[in-house]
Amino acid sequence: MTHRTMVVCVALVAVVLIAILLDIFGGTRWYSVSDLWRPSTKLVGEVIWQIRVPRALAAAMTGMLLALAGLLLQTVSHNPLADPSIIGVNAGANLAMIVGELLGISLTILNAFWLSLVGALLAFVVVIGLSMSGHGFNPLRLLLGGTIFSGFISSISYAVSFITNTTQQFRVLLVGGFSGANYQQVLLLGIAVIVVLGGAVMFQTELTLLGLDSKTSVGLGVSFKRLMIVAVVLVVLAAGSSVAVAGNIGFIGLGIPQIVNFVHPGSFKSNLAAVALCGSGFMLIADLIAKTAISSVELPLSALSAIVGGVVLFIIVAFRKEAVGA
Amino acid sequence: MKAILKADQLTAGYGHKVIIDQQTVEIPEGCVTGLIGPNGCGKSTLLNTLNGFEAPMAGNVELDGKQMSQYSAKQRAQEIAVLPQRTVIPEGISVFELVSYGRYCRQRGMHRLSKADRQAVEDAIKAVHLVDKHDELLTSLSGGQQQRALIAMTLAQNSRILMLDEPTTYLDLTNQLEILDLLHELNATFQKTVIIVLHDLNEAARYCDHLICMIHGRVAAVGSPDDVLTETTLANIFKVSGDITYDNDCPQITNCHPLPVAQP
Repeated sequence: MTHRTMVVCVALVAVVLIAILLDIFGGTRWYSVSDLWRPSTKLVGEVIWQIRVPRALAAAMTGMLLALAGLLLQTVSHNPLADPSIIGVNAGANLAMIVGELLGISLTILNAFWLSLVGALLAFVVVIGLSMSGHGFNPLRLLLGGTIFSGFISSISYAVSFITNTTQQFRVLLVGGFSGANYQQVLLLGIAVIVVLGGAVMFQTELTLLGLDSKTSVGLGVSFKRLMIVAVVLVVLAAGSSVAVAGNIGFIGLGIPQIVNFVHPGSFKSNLAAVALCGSGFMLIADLIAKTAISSVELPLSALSAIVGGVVLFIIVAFRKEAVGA
Repeated sequence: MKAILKADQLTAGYGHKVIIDQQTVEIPEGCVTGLIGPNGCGKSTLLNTLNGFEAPMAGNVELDGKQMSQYSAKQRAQEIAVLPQRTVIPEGISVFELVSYGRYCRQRGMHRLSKADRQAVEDAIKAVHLVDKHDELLTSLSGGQQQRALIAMTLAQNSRILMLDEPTTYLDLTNQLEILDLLHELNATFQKTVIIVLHDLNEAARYCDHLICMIHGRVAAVGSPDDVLTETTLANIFKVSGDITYDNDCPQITNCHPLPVAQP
């Protein structure tokens, strides 16, 4: 790690910490910093420690997981547009939870997690199957097949919840959000973060080499099959646990790695930390806006994330075109 | 001459499609071997099986008398370095960083660059004459310089065999000759066994010691450029007529015309 990336990372950690604090104090009612250790009433203390804190932690970790899942997918598929929500991994997790609940598996936190992981894995395996051609894995097919599959699965989710009159019940799953976050979810997300981040760091050299085309990386001695299995496990864990807590939130996986790479073009290794931290920061700020923008109404997070992110990406694309044209 | 790589009764292809059918090929150690033949003749398939990327459908590939399947990915990379056709040039990466990727197969654990690794990287950069571009971004280099940086990356692997799939195809003439001179130099100074897929037959004749000419998945001719580049080979395999002239004892094709395609 160079001196400059070190400085950037320390700055980003500070931003994330500030965003966590803002997300804790901000909401329909703003609290003061002193409420954290000397709450004005017992109720205020409970709201902060039982609702706001786990919510902020869940948002921070989910943002990190989604951004990492996007970065991993983009790296292994050699496609900057790959993202777990675009290729249908999130939608698969979503559908598995809805189907599970309707089949009578009560959506306790633990059940939600494993259903979501199974759904994400099944969806990913199907999409990888779709992207296999005679010459092996084809990244373009991953995106084409995944996009169609994602739409298909999402439609089934909506149809199932509509037919069974459970749209309201699955609202959080379908529109995304952290309103019910609790410490048990925070714990499970924490485990997912440790595994995904740890795995990404452990395999960062191989994943960096994969930034060259896959044949070149194989020539350098990377075991492509093993690396693909690692990537699939990490992406499923990241996307599945995010969906189990916060529903299907798009954009982050696609946009955060893009934005980081735009500001600082570099290898997997050099951008890993920045992508993880920016994912956290973005999710926290989006959550804060969702809570506070319109009083008494909580905005749907997936839509908000897509709108904010869409605008940012739009600016980047426009900027880039100009830079290329000049 | 001793064969370092050997394919025995090799059948290879993609999926269920057989491209090479029961061919036997030997690569002599310490030579520059050229794979030539018309498009779709199976050159790339042969290369990708000889280097262990693809498992043969039938038959054996042996490296140094040991079955290729017994080598792990890293062990194989220590023996054979490969530069495929049209490599993606990643953004935001310096020449030094790219070349250091070549050390992956020699590293353990967390893959930090040791002192020996750094030395090997510096040597490789020096060998391709890019010392002055050491810290520059790859994307800021010319096509020929990028190709040299990629070759340096494969050199850093310190392997005995170097395989290149059409390394000159997207380069202008000066750069083509520079790359081929460089390969020749590497072969001469480091006794590297070089295997190279080439389109230009005159370049192949000039720079290779040994040629393997393929057509329709078969080995049609093997030997020195003198043996392989004959008017008969030109007519039968490449479907062109031409005269073979000798430039400093090196066969060169002139006066080349496509032959009328025989109607079946």
